[in-house]
Amino acid sequence: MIAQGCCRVTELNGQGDKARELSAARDALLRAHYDEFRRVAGRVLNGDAAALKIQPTDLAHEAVIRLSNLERLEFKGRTHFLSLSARVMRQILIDEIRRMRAQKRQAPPVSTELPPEMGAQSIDLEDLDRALTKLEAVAPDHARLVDRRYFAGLTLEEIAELDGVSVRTVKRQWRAARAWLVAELGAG
Amino acid sequence: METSLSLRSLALFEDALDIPPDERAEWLAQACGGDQALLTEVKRLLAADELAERAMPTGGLSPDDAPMPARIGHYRIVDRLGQGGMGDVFAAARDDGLFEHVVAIKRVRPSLFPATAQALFDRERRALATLSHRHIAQLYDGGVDETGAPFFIMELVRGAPIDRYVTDNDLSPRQIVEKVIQVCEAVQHAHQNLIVHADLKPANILVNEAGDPKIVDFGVARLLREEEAEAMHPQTRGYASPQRAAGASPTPADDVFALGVVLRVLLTGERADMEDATTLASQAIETSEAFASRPPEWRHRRSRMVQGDLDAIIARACAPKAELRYPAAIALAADLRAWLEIRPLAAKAHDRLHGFRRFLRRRRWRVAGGVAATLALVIGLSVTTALWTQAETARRQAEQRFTEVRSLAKYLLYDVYDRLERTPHSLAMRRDVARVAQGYLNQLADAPSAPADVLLEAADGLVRVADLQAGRSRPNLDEFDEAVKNLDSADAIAARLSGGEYQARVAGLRAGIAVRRAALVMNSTQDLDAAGSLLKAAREHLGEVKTSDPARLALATRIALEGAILGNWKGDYAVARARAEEAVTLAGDLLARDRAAREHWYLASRSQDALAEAIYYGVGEAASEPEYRRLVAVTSDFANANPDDMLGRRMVIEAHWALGTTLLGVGGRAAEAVSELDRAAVLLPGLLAFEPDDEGAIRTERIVLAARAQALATAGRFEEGVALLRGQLDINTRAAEAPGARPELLRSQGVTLAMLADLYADNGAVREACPLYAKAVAVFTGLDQRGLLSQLDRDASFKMVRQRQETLCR
Repeated sequence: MIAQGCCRVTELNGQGDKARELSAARDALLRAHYDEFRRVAGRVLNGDAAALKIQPTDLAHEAVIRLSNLERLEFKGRTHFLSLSARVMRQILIDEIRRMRAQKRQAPPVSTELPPEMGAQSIDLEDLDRALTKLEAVAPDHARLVDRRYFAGLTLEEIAELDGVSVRTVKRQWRAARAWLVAELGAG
Repeated sequence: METSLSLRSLALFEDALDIPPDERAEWLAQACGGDQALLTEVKRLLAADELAERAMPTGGLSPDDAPMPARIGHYRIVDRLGQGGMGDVFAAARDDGLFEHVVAIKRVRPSLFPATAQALFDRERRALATLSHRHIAQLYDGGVDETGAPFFIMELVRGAPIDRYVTDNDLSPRQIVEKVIQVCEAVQHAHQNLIVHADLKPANILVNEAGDPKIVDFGVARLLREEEAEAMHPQTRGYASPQRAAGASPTPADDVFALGVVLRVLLTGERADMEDATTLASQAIETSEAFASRPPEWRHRRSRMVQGDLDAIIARACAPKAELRYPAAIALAADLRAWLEIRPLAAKAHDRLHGFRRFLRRRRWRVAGGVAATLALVIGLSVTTALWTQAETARRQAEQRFTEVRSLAKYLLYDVYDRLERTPHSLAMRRDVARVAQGYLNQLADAPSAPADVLLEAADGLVRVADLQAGRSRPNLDEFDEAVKNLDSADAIAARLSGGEYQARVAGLRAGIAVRRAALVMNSTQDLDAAGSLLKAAREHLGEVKTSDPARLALATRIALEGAILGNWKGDYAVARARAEEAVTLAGDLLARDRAAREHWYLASRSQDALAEAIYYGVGEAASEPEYRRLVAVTSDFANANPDDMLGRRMVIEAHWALGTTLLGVGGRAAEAVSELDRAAVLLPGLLAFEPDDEGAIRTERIVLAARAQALATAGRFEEGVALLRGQLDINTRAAEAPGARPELLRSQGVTLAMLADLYADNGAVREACPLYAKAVAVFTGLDQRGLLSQLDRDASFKMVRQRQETLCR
């Protein structure tokens, strides 16, 4: 269905001029996943996006640059690529918010609307990041699942297919991760 | 320690999901084996889960997690055909011994249905089952299974989605167009039965083994929670028209748009969610990644076939503005058929291309999109004919459906809504109900064949929705913009009906709309001139209403009342007083006619309030006291007659507040004022507890608290008063600084600043007062510069602040 611009990147890597290759790889990734990044950024940053200097476009660029610097650049298709970029997406957003807060003494909070499946409440992105980091420490698989679902916009069905497990398993895990986060954020 | 605890609790939580809720507690206790910390942690997760589930109730695990059921209804499940975000599709056989009938059963996740849609589901299903067309997968039946999941039983289509069919069979543009024409005809048939698909996309157009396209899921999308449906299928967004994407309820024009996208996608192999598909389809073919493996000549040839007329047809079908699109699916089909027919047919490949180009050259005007425009005339005729021949059968079905939709909208807007209004914490549900009803009403109004009485009723309904959203006669939903939009739609309908057989009723409707618009304008943008002309229009329309019309008296009262309020805002207190006296008299007649009607109580209370205000500002505080005492009496009667009505309670609170603050100004009566305001404060918690999110109630609370503080200080309890006002100022400031705060909130902030400053100044603390006056001046100046300050504020609050600042703060 989807043109896999990313896959040809793999072939490029490892031969010829590295810098040129990387830039070609970046361009290919950018083209292939630009829309997806923008959509994720738009969704995560909803109404408060205006408070941030970062534009969805910049976010997409930044994500591609950071990903290109990763040692291994082997992506097996769109979902795999997005899955790997989920953590990076989150990191970029958080970095950007911190940078903004450092510049302005009275920076507004940047909240995100949790999707209805996560309780549909508005919470501070940094709080979400803190909670996820905490979850990473106790249950890394659960945290990764949230990253992929929320920061990469993958569906549970896609994640199940990627991991080669049943949708049922992923859904149970998702529900557990969600409950943990809701409890954590509610308590915080 | 904590790590392993969390991990174990997550695992236990996942297992607990498999245990039926009523057995969970016992199971958990056993599974934790006396580990109290673990038990507490799992319980905490389960509680959090319940919280999250409440936002999207699923009633346990989603059905698509469950194993394949053995049966649904009278059918034995044979196979699972598919599984997706929406639910499952099974193949099933009816084996009651009489005959073997294989069907498809689509079972939808209950979470995709808003609770309010359950009632619609049955009605919708019945309407959909009447839809019978060769290219629509027939819906046979449906219901709700024992797990609460709605299901549809429909014709089993053995085949593939149309996009895959096109690729697998390497269809030519010509063959693609033929298939799309058949799809258009099916969509047209549904539209004539007032059914909109609302989710047309290749995945919903299957092509069976005989090559017949069959549309599935007709009308199903409309029953789903919209945000859910969207979250599940991000790739379908490309098929949504700008109006749909903006959240408007689905119309036939949206289906036409989707058909255009389908055609483009099938021809070009592109994905639909190319956000700005500004390139022509013919150009897109040459760069399409889907055709990357094709030789350049193949692409070139195909792009030439699409170029010109087909480009123009797609552009018209996908026009961003609905009125520029084909008026009906059948019009799109007719253009496509014309394209098929004007193509030179029996020629060799080279000659064909050549001939085609020549043909286009000869009719250059057509290439530039002319086909669509000129054929529209012919089509207009054929649509009429088609409509006419099918009129007899369609008419009966349409009438049936109008009746259903009407009764449904009425049921939602009156019965359901009124019941919800008496239910605490129902604000979110009320919003949903109003929105669903609004969707139905717009659908009625948009139906091309809707008769005048249906339209009139739809307009009445939209006015009612606007009242629920922003009317002051009830605890409203605080949706000003939506309310204005609905009043505009209602007025557009009324204008269309104007001059017809319902002229007198239309005049009443328009008078009602104009007076409501005037009230909204006064409450939000404060454009008093606009409010004045709206009231003038309302009075003119009222003149056309029959004197025998039972609604006339209430309408006249409302117009007089809003006239009085406008007078007060403008500072024309004599006019205001005259209008208010008229309104009070009329409202008295209304109450004499029917003391049970809530609207009558509302009008009587508000009219008395407007009268008291006109005297307060126009004559003086002492003169207005008796009128305010009358206000307390009438609102108390209102509240006592309707104890569970929060509006009555709010009006009593506001009456006590008004009387209290009046006494405060008289001098020497501060103690009386405090006790009057205490009476208001006592009633407040009940109001807020009933609906904690109600903006109006929150505003009332702010006003009362601020006044109490002032009264306390005046009565010699200065410190208590300052503490109250400081707290209030913090709240006001936060509200005013929130993004998108309405001018009203800024005004509250300015007023509170001024009051705190006055409080300090009156008690000799000038040093504390001056910076506060400066801030208040800044707030009011800001509002004034943006043209948002009313004359009343300019004459009273702002003027006083500046005067005091000048005399005190040199």
